[in-house]
Amino acid sequence: MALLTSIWRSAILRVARWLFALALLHAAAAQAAAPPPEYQLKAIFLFNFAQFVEWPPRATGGEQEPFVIGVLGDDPFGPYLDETVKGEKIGNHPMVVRRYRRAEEVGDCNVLFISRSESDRMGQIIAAFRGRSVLTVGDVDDFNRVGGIVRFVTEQGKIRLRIDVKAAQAAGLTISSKLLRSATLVTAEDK
Amino acid sequence: MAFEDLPIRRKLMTIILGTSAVVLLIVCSTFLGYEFITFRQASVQQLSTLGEIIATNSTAALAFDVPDDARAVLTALAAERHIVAACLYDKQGRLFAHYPSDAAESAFPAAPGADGYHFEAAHLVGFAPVVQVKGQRLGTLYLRSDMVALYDRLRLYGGIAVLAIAAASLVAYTLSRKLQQQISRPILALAETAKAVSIHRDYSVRALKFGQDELGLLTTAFNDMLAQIEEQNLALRRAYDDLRQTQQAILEQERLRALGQMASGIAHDINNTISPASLYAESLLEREPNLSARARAYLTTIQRVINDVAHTVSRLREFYRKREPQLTLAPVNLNQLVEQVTELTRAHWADTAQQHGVEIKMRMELAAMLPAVMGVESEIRDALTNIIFNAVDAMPEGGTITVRTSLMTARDPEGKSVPDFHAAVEIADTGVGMDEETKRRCLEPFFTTKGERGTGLGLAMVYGAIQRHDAKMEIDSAPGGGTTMRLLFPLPATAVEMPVAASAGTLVATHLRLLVVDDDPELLKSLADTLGDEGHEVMTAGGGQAGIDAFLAAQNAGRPFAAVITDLGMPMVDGRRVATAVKSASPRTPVFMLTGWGQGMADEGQIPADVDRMLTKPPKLRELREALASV
Repeated sequence: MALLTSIWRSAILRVARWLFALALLHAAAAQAAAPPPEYQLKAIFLFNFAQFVEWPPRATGGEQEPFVIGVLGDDPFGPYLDETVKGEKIGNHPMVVRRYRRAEEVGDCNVLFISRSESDRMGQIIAAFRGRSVLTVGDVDDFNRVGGIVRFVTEQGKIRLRIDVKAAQAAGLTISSKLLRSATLVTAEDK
Repeated sequence: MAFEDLPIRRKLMTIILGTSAVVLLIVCSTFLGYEFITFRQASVQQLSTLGEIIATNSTAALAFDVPDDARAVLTALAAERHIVAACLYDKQGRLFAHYPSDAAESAFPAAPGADGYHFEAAHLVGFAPVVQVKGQRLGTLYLRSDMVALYDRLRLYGGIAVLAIAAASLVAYTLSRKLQQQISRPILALAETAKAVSIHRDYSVRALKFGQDELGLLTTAFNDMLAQIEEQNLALRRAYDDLRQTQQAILEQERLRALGQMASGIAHDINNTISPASLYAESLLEREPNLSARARAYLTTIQRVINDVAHTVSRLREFYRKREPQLTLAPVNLNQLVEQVTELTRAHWADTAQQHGVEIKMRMELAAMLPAVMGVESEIRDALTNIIFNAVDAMPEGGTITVRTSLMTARDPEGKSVPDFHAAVEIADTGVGMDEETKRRCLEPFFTTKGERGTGLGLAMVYGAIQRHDAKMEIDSAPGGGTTMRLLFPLPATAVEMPVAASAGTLVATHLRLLVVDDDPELLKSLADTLGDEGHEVMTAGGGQAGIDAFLAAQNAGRPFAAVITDLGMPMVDGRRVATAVKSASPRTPVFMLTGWGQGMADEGQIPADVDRMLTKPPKLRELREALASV
């Protein structure tokens, strides 16, 4: 009976969730030009990095300090990122999304997505964050070559990760081996 | 067969084996049940641990959408052969990856269920959350494990339990076969004894006792009961024998009394009949000096024959004589008595034996100077007679009877001599002897080995007489070895003098006027004749009343009688009334009573009040003279 009830409950919840997601999608489409669907997954990935990466204590700040996911440049996520992060917490830290136009604006930040719009200055931007405990993420082709830590690669319609472990170590970040196992590691020749 | 009717041995075995089997079954079942539960618990524990490992390793695959990685993680389950299926669902509950990878998707639940593990048919299944950071659920892991391990183990334990029960039962059977005897053996022994008792009515058997427990007490109680029954049985039997003997003795007494009455009548008549012959013969022999030698010889023979007849008749008296409790003991010369008895029984042992063509010798070994003993001569005489008759009967082929008198000591029951001396009379024959049984029973009344010829009373009467004399009786006998009967009489404290027989001198009394009364005319005439010859003036009366009349007439006429001699038994008016009448008319006139019972009455103190002297029939002139001399 309990099993049956729980099955039913989960089924109802699942249906409800789907209905809710559909409603949101329609709302977003009505608001602006709809972002490509791959960014929905990338938003989730950005959110998930929080679970598989360890920041040094001072980077996340003290109690109640927010866990910041930043977007530098044009925001390709539409409403996805906000939806994903909304109300979520990592430990005691509430998650927030901050958007920056210039690198200088970036203050305390844990995960920073550097938009395609910043392609020309990518090397400079990344160099600016050298020595800061910021997980840099991007989806431009030479993101790793210019010193970015995590790059989204689309292969056969699937989003894959390419991670530069050395860059992460230089930033003082520890990336979970589990994350590394499901990603492609960047070697020196790749650069 | 119902369990109640089973033999106690089988019952005990069944109880012991049944109990141990049940106990073992309970123990084994408990053990198996415990194993079953703990194994299930352990299985859940193991599966949840495994689930946790898989789930932890699957977080990145789910977080970053890498199904290949998830599949690789799940493939690691191949190492645990009991895991038959596993799969991962993503955050949205969609199937993400499954194991084995070649299984159809329909083989897995379409959507994840509630977290936790439970048993489903023959499987243990469950869902576990996939979480990397607390609060952030990435998906769900599903695991299904078969319970073959549990059933394998239960089967193994079941087999071990069956073997253990079988082995334990075998041991219990062997042990109980031995141990149940502790209980069954005494009970069976009791049962056997009870059966033996009820079948053979033998109360002398006893049940064997094995211990001091309740069964031992039971056995003791049972044996005591048997002992009591045996004792009571014996007492009953003894009482019954006593009763039977008493009854027989009473019957026999009654018979003897009837016989005695008849015998007394015959004795009376014979004594009356031979009285004249006795009187005339004696008178002739004494009064006729000129008798020819031939006449004298004939008369002597007649006198002796009459004396023998009188003697024979006197022995009849023993039949009817009442046995008084107080015996009149008189000194008895045993040697003389023995000689008398051998003479009296001569006809039996010499003549009868000769008729049968065998010879019986009589040997006498009499001790000189044997002291006289106190006793009743007639009883001792009868006892000796009886023993001699038995000795003759014991020697159908002839032999020797030895009669011996001596002074000797008696043997006490242990066979040792006791110091006081006895006068012994021993009668030994060389006959067939007695076996133990006969020897033991020969004194019982009505026990006889002579068949129809024996009354079984002879030795019983001897024994009675011996007891009345405080004497002892010893019997030595063995089959084929002859029999020796020994009578031991106690010696009186002081030696007794044998009375000197009264001298039979010819007392010539004064001439007297006598009245003789008797209903027997022959006797009356012979008395008148002989007393007349003595010189007396004799008047006769043929009956009691006639006698009284004659006496009173003579009294009135002034010619009274000096003495009256009267018969006792007469019709109408008997001797007692004659005596009374005489004494009332003339108290000083002596009355002599003649009777066939005379001697017996005198012995027993039955002399009627008015009679001066009793005289036995046949009357002797000598006795008459003696009586009249006292007038």
